[in-house]
Amino acid sequence: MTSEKKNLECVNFLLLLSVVLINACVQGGAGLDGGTQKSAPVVKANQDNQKKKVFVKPATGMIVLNSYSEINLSNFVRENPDAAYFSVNSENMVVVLDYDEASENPIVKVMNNPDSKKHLVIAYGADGNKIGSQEF
Amino acid sequence: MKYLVVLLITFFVIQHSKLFAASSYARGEFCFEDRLVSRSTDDDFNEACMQYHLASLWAGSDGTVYEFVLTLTPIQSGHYDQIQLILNPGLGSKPMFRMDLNEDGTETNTIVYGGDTLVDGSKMQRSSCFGGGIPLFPDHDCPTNTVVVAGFGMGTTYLNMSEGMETTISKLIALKNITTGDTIDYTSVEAGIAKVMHKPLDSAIPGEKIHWYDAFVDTSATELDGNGQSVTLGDCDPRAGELNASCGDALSTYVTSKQTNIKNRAGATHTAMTNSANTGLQVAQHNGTSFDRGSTWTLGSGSTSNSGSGSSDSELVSYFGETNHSTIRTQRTKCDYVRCYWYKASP
Repeated sequence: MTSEKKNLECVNFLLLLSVVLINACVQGGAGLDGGTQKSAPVVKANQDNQKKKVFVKPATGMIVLNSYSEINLSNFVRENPDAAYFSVNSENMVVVLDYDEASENPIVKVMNNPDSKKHLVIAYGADGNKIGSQEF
Repeated sequence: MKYLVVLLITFFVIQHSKLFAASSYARGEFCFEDRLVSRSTDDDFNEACMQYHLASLWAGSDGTVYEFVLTLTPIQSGHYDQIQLILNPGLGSKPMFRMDLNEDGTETNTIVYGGDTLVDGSKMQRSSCFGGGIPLFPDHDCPTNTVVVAGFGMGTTYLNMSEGMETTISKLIALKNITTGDTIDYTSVEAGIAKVMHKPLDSAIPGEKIHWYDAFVDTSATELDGNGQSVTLGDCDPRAGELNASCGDALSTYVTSKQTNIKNRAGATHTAMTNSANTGLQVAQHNGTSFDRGSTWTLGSGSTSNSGSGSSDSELVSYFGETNHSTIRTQRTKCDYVRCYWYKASP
């Protein structure tokens, strides 16, 4: 290899390294276990936010006597593309925020409160500040 | 050079893959049958029953649990066998913390692993903490009875929130029957050779040797299933066959919404919620120098019933997002998570 080629390889390597480092810095911030945390995806679907009861199929020997609602957050997430956290303030307890990779639709499953079916869903930025909320 | 390109592409794919953190809080009651089905269980689910509060941080993309704090308060211990509440053996060698308040008022954090004992059955009776030794009283309750266990930096797909809260709890806690040698864990429950029950907080408990269905269910009552169809609960006896989705919906709605009726039934008993269970997780904030137990985040409701004022999820986010969280989270002790008022009795 000629010295010119070696120099070219070296320049290419340094360029790649700088791109990697810049990318890492841009993506930096608090996250899971001290790692990097990204914004939530912008969802494509535009579905309604109807709630429906869902039966949680338990393991064979597991008797589950809690009941659930399911909230489709497609619209809400689409309106808050910069959100890093989605949190639900339900009058009973949040159970699961599920995520459908295929449709990119986050779904919240909430343990029902017999006295109130309202759930306040909040979007937070990576810095922990609230950036949006909506009652479902 | 081409390896560098591959490396670069891989790096970008990882960096731009979908990942967002989700925090959640759940509470409820979790009860065991303490023997395997093959030993003829009575399905009263009163051998070992506890209230729990669970705060967790996990990946919204795949449900991987990175962090959790769990409190367990035994409320019923109707076992004849010698039993122990243990961390699920399936958790393996991931180190976790069991946080204890000792009788001299000191606190210790012990590193524990899957299969390790959390609380012995002899200490699961509510009354046990009021007799003998030096009594320690939190606010009208017994602090030694509430177990706090936490896992930080777990990154385990074994605990996967996308499987639902009940499965997550079942994968955390197991019961070891010393007398029979049985272990009631998620593996045995999944295989159908052992049974556990999940129900709302502050629920009724079946009387001794009364099947839960007989204790709870008004067979003439009807509830709607997930499709809005009316289901007569008398057609949903689990002894007649595995519950279908329609019955599962109807029974869940009934048990969730008709607790007052159920508690008044002859076959059901009810243990009033303990004070420590009411208060949920009261996490002491760090003031830059130390933890301030007078300034707390309340993760979960402080109400005394399921119809309370609800959790404050902004405080849940504040806890997981606190400054230097990954450093100070391992320094909290039991009374940084639950209220611990105590006094030492005069000798």
